[in-house]
Amino acid sequence: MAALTVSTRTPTNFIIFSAHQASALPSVRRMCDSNKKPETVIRDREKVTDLAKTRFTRGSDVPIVPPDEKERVAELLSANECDTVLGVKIKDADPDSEGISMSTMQFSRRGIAGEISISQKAYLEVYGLRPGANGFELGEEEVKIGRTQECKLTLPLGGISRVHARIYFRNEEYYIQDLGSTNGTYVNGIKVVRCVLRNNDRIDIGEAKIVFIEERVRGV
Amino acid sequence: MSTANQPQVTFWGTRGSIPTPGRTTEKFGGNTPCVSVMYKDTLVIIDAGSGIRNCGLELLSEAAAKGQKQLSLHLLLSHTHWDHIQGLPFFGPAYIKGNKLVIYGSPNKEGFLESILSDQMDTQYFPVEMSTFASDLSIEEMPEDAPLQLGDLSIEWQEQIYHPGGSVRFKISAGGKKIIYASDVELDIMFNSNEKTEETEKHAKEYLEFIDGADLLIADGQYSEEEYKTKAHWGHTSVPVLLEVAYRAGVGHLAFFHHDPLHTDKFLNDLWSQYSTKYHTADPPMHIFWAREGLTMPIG
Ligand SMILES: [Zn+2]
Ligand SMILES: [Zn+2]
Repeated sequence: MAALTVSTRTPTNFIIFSAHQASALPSVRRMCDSNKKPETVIRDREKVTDLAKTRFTRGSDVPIVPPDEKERVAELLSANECDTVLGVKIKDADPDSEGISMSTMQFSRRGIAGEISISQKAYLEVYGLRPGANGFELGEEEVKIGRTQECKLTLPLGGISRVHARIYFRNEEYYIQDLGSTNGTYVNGIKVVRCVLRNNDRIDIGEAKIVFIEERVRGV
Repeated sequence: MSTANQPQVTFWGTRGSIPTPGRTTEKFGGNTPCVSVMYKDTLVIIDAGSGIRNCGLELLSEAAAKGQKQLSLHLLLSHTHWDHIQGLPFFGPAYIKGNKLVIYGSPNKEGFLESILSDQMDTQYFPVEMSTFASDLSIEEMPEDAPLQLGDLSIEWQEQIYHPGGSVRFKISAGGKKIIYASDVELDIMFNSNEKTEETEKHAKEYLEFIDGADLLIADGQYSEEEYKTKAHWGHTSVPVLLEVAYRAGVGHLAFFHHDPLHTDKFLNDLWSQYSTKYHTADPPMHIFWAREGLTMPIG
C-alpha cells in the first residue's frame, strides 16, 4: 500500500522514487541495463534535493516552474516514505539544464505509471489518546475500532463501545460502518450507518476525533 | 441508540441534470438522483438516475452473500426527466428472472409512464429493449385516495407544479419517522414574496404541511443565492429559501440534493461552512448537510 512517489507534475526527465520500489519496476531495470545508463544514481537525499533545486531554478533565483510546483517537489522529497531517495541523472546532458535533459530520458512517465496500479495510502489521524495526533495506517484489511483489545484500533475513551465500528476496503474505496454502537458513528457531523470515506473526513466516535487522510497517486 | 431498528436512507446519486464524474466531484458524487429507504425488510428506491446502477450492484451482491434467490423491489419515480430515469437500463436486478420490480409514478402521466420508460430503451438509444427485463415488472400509478403501503412503510405523495413538466414529492413514514423526498421544484416561486399570489400561497401552505416535522428532508437546493438571480424559473430552489422554509417547518435534518453539475466539492463544502453553524446552534437546531453519494444514515 505504500505510495510510490512518482510525481506526475514534475518535469518528465526527473523522477523520484524510493530505491526499494524502483528496483521492482521493469522499466527502471531496463533503463539501468540499457546503453543509456544513468550517469549517476544518487541515493542520498540531500544530493537529490540539491539536484531538484538546480533543476527548478536553473541555478538562478528565477524558478522555471510555478512556485507551487516547486513546493510540491520539495514536499515529495521530504515525504517520509522516501527514506532512500533515488535520483537519476542522465548522460549527454543539455548544458542548459544542469546535467538533466529531456532528450536523454529513456523511460517515460507514462511507462512507469502504467506499471503501477493506482497507489493509495490512507491513514487515520486519531486525536484524544495523547496530546497531538496518532497516525494509524490503513491497508486492505478490515480495521475494527473500539474499546477492547480485540480491535485493531483500540480507543480506551469515553462513549466508545467495545466494538464500535469498522473500516473496510472494497472496490478501491474505504468505508466506515457502525457496528451497532451505543453512541453512534459520525462522519462530518452526520450520524452514519455506513459511509464511503473521502480525504479529510472527520469521524467522531465517542470522545475520539479521527481524521481520514488519503493520498492517491494516479496512473496516467 | 442502536441503528438496527431504524429506517435507513442511502444516497446513491445526488447530482442534478447530468452525471459529473471526476476529481472535483468525488466527495459529493457525480451520479444523478437515486435514494433508497430501507426499513425492516422493505426497500423502496426513489428515482432511477445513474446512481441506481450502484444500488443494483449492491443489492445483487448482498443477495448472493445471503443466498437470497428473489428480490422484491419498489421504485418510485418523482418524474421522468432524463436525470431521474437514465439509470434504469443499468439496473441489474431488473434483468434477473425471479425478481419482482414495481415502478410507481404520477397518475398525471395518463398511462404514458410505461412508454416513456421503454422509449429510452428504444434500439436507437440503447442496445437492448425494455422487454429484455426478465424480472416480473409492473408499472403502476400512485394511488390517489390513500397512502401506498409497502411492507412497514407508508408513502404519501403530492404533485409539484413549479418544475418544467411537474414532479412529485414523497413522504415515507416508517417506524414513527418521516422522510421526505422533494427534489426538482422551485420553492422560490412559492415563498418569494415578490411573486406571491393566492395560488402560490395555497401551494406554500400545502408544502409546509407536507414537510412539517420531517426527520429528514431531501430537497432541491441547487442554486446559491447569487446563481438564482440568473436562474429564476428554471425549476430549482435557491439555498437560502430552502433553509428558511425547512426551518419554519421544524425539519430535523435537511439534506441539500440535486447538486448543480458546475458545483465542485469545494463549492459545496463552502456553502456548508457558510450556513451550517447558524442552523446548528439555533434553538431548536436543524442539522444541514449536502447529500453525498455513498452515505447511509439512520433516521431517528
Ligand atoms: Zn432533476
Ligand atoms: Zn427535473
